[in-house]
Amino acid sequence: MTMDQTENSEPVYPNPTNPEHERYGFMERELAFKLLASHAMVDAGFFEYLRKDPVAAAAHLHVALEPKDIEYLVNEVDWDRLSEMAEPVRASLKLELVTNSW
Amino acid sequence: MSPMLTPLLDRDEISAQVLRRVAGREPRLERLAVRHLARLTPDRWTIEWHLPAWLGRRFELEPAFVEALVQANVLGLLAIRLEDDLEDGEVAPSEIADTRVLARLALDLAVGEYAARFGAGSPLWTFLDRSMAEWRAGASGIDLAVRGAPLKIAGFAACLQADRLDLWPTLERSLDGAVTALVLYDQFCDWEADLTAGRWNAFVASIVGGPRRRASPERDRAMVLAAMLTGPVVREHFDRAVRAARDAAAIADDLEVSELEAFLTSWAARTSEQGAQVADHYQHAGDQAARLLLGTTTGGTAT
Repeated sequence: MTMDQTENSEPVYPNPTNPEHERYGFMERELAFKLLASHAMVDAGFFEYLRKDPVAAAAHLHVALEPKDIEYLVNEVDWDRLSEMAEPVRASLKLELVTNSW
Repeated sequence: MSPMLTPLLDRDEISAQVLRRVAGREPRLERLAVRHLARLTPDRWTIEWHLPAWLGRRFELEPAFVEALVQANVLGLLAIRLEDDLEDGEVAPSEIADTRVLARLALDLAVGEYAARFGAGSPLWTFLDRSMAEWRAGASGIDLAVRGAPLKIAGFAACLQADRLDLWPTLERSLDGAVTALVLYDQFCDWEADLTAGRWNAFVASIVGGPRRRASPERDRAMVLAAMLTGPVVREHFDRAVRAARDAAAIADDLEVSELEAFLTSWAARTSEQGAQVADHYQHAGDQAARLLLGTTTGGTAT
């Protein structure tokens, strides 16, 4: 039996017959945002990159963003407030804070 | 001091003996020696301080011989730490000359302890020369066990004195594993300092590769931290150290060096707990970061 090459090849989404297809599900979205947020947390340059060009910044980490997430990052995130709110998380990354009870 | 450690060891007395030996040769260096010796505590350098006593019990060696090996180990440790400090540029310019003299003197005195007990034709000398050469060649490289090469001299000497050189290859494997475990642990604790200073570090290398692959220290630091927040790198590094310690403990058990086995088993258990604690901390920080990015909007507040 031979297989049809077109059936065997990877479909490209979204496409005209499936315009709503999402590249990732809920868990994958959480993980993708954790990856983006963690890099932004520890790297001021990446924070600015993600703020100014989320598609390219995400692609840099091999993440392909959904249109609704691009929209979210571009138009909804309050980056100045996020920067302020991230300070306690950044401060908590100091290893001495974790090891000082040893 | 951990309960399994030998009560025979009198740190103050041994330190006093070491300082007397230094002062006897170079009185002006005694204060410098006091300062540096204070850093080399038995809690932090457990195997260096205790191995001769542990092997002394196993092989029923004379207390005077064991005491000489402890002094040799402490003097050797002092010499090596001073050389490391000089190499790492951690000595004040005004003290560099004296630190060099003290490092050479401490090593000379350590070797003197062996010279007083082993003849010129003893295999100890070949072993000692080889160990020191290995250490000098690889003290900052990727073979972590090499960093303990000087420590092994006392182990070899104990086997030789007990006429049990047949056990040496097995004991050496245990000590190599123990040193590997301890160095892996230290390198996790020192990863940022090592990265800043341009020193090779096992934890950093496991994430960003060797120095030739690296970008700037700032970029590498960000890459390491991001990996700690998003992946299993901390747990894997600690697991590697714990496995090395457990394997070394099993070998020590086979050799019936019970105090070495007990120390390594206890260290492995404690380190495993610490690894889980650190890994959880960074994973939690990564989760917090994600929640902030997902929740800090112009119309709402992240919690």
